[in-house]
Amino acid sequence: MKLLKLAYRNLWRNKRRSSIMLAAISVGLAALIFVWGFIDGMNEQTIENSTTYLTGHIKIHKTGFHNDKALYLTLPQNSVLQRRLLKNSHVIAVTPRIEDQAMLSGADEARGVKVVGVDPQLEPEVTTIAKAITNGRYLQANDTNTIVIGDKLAERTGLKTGDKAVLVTQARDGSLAADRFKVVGLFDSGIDIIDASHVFIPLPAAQELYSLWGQITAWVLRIDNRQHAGDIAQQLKTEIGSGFEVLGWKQLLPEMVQMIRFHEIISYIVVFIVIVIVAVGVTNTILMAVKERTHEFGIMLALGTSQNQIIQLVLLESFILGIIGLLAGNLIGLSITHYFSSAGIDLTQYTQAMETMPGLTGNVYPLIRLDHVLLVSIATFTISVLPALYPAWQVSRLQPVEAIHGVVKSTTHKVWHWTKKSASSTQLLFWRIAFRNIWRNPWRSALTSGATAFGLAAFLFLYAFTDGFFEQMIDNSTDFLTAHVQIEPQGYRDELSPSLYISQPENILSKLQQYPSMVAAAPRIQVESMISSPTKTEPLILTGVKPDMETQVTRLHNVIIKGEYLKANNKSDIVLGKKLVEKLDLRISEKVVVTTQLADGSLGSAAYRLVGVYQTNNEIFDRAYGFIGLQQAQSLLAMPNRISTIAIRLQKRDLSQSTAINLDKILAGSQYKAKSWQQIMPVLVQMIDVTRLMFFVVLAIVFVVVAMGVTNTLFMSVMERTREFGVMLAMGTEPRLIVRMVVYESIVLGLIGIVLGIIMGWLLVLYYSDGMDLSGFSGATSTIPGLTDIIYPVLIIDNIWLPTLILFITGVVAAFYPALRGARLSPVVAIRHV
Amino acid sequence: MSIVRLEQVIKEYHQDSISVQALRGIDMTIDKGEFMALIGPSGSGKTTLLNLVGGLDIPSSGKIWIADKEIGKLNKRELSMLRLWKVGFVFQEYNLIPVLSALENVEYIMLLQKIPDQERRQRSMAVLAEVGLQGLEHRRPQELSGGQQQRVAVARAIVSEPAIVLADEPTANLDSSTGAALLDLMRNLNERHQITFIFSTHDPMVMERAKRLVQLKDGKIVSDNKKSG
Repeated sequence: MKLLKLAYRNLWRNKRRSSIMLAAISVGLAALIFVWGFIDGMNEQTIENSTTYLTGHIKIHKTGFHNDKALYLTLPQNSVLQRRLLKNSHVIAVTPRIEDQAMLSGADEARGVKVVGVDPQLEPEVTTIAKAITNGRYLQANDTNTIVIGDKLAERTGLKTGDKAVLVTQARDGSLAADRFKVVGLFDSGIDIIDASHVFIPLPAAQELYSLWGQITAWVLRIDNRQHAGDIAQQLKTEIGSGFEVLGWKQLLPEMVQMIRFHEIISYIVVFIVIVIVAVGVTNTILMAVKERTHEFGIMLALGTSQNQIIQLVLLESFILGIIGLLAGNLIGLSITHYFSSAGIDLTQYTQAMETMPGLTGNVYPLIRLDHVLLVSIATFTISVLPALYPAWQVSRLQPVEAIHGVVKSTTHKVWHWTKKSASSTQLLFWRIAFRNIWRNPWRSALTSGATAFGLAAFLFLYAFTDGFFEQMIDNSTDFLTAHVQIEPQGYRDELSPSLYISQPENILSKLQQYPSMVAAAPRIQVESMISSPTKTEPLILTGVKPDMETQVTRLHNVIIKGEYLKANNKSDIVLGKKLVEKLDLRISEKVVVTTQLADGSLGSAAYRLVGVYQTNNEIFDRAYGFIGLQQAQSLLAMPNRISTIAIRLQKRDLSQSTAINLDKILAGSQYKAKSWQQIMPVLVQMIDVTRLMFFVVLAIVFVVVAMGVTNTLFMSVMERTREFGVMLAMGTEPRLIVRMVVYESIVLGLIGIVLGIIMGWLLVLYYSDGMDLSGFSGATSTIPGLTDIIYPVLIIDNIWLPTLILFITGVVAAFYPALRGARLSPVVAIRHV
Repeated sequence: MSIVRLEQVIKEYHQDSISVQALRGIDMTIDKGEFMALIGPSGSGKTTLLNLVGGLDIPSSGKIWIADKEIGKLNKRELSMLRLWKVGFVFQEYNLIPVLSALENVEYIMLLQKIPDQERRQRSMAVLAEVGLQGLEHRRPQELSGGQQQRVAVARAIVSEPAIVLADEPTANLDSSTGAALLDLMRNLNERHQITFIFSTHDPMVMERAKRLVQLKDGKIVSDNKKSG
């Protein structure tokens, strides 16, 4: 009890030291709570939005449907099963659906879409798309041929409320089916994948369209607690008997689950980095605080205090500080997180990028998860108490006399004489003093530089990792598909419409020949279409190319895994991606039928023979694209001598933007525009920006913690040397020279930290230069356009020098406070300081 | 010729609303070449007086001239310059800069004075030789004995030929023979170079060697005796 009182008073006595330590603990903890809350919020939002807007919590199909999606695997639409499902106390609502593919033709545009046939009354009890209607209305009970579509889809197809749209698809019996629908409403869920590719029609209309009278493909359920979806699905499975598959949202959305898993891994890494930096900062401060009191402990020992009591006292003090820091850190962290959890963090600037991640919108609402808060609290508390043990033990072993005189012989180190020459100027002398002071307390300096180094290394590596990520995305996208620059009719990119074309491509091509940085150019036609095998229909972006020219621009022909690439004089060959071939269940030389909307609005179709299968390892590339000869495309679309775009390969990717600008000048006056890959893939550019933004958040936290560590170290070292400064001042050293000396120390410490950090980070990157295999999260990475499972980290100097410099400056600026304190000492008081 | 002059000097300290008069009206003149000791019990004002004479502090009232400059009229920077050029210090705890070698400690002040390399080096080596530390110039303080460290401190104090050297209990941490040797050294320097030394001390050995003893009590001078010879 006495010891507790003593500990408490000790903390009060040195308010500045205690507050430095408190700040270190609580700021670190608060940062941890917020960062984790941010990531948890993002994940939660992803799941919540994906399940509530569209997927529901549990789906019941006929066994086999989830993998095959064939229309003969249907369930009867009767109320027996529905009633049985509702008997389960966890099930809140049940609704029937038909889900399949179709092509939606608007006034001037066609798009492949996912058709969801719903019961207009039951559906809103399970999912909330009805609440996302921004224009017109949702489906109603007596509707016949009505349709609601996403705002993005409306934009792309040119459809408005009141317009007529046509759905074309393959019915259950394999025949081509089509029906007219009136657009009654537009919705905006804020989720790209829903808004751009889903349409909702009344269930009876869907049954009519697909020839599925009295049949449905799924029962969709809402349950009381989403977390237990897996368990409840199991229960239901036994309750309803065989012949059904009962799937929780985790099975329904495996890619999202993997993406979240991926986020979680990243968040563990970030949290770990922050914990280490906080730990170093706190350890540093506590070590110094104990060391600084050597004299005081000597007196206590001399007075007969036992060694154990000293250790207890120190531990008790850090225990009290730890508790207060814990409370303060939680208070700050939880308040900030709580505030933003309702206000949201506005990332609307990056909306497009955020919305490409399934379930995310432009606003992120951080989430407080108690288990995570508890975990970081325990970690922070432990690291704020444990480091005190070592110095406490060391101090307790001191001889009282030594301790009173402040000489800790056990830590004396070898004195190095770097140079026998005397300093030739004041500048040099102060540099020398700074260097030697750093060497004087190698442990402390190592900890401070170490914190800087670790923070920087971790940051560099993460940065290199994401840069590798993006480089790959950009490289693959430009190499396989978009090329560096494309010349296309104005407005074409948004509509992919055959009504927008380049009529005399030869003229432009010949002009391009003279352009110096161009390597090759190839004409193309690209349109939205549907591709059908004997059993299935899938959406397809049909691309007509001139094989001999195209292979100069992109290198898809290098990743053919079966068959061969298009020949120059092929008649009716098609090359498809591996994923699509699997979905369509095709083999080489089998026939497919491609249907598309022509410029005049009528439908055209043609049959092709599969000659080759490519594999880029990217989900989207391997699933969405198909390639035929340019002439075949021209004849299918009835647009002889016309093309959609000219794809251009440059000597260097970096030249894309400047080339696009230059080409635009050449094209001035025509209705054609040159677009760089950045303009062709704005979403990719935004994704890069948004990731950068996250990195700056992490970086800011690293900065705060590093700055605090440097301030603490120098502060303690200034306090420790109070008398030394007093003597220097007494002898006529000007205060500004003292400031300079302390700042020099921080410069040296910072430089050591930064050099070490760069070396460590660089070695890590080097170690992984053969690629980091992320196939464990394959679903997550390969669904991102342009990305495969293996990431090759790259250090891009342009991207890292600035953060490095800022980190360095932060450290130096942080030194000014302790430096000024040293300089403002009164020599009379300082000399007597013990 | 007076090098320090005090006129009705009063020094008050304020701490938590209590004010303490450490010096209550001191008049004193110190001439060039004196070897003088301030004596008196703890709390009599010795250290306060020494701080004022050294320009480390300014009086609450009264006037002090050091080398013809009135210190009450100087700002911090000017005080700093005054100490740099006119005053040398020797402390009880030696107080050398631990990261600098003996030579560098001695050179430190001349570096601040921007004295050219070669001259600085020569004078430092000479002074170190004079205080008997030849061959130990490159040792760091922690590699020297207490007596040796104090000799470095003395060398540092006199190397730039200040008007006065203030020594606050310089022998308190030394054994008697080391202390005696150090005092003889200082007396020697005083006689050969006419350097003014002012001690504050309890040590009888210092009192024995001092040419003038000023006794303080409760912030006032109670006796001021000049020894002849």
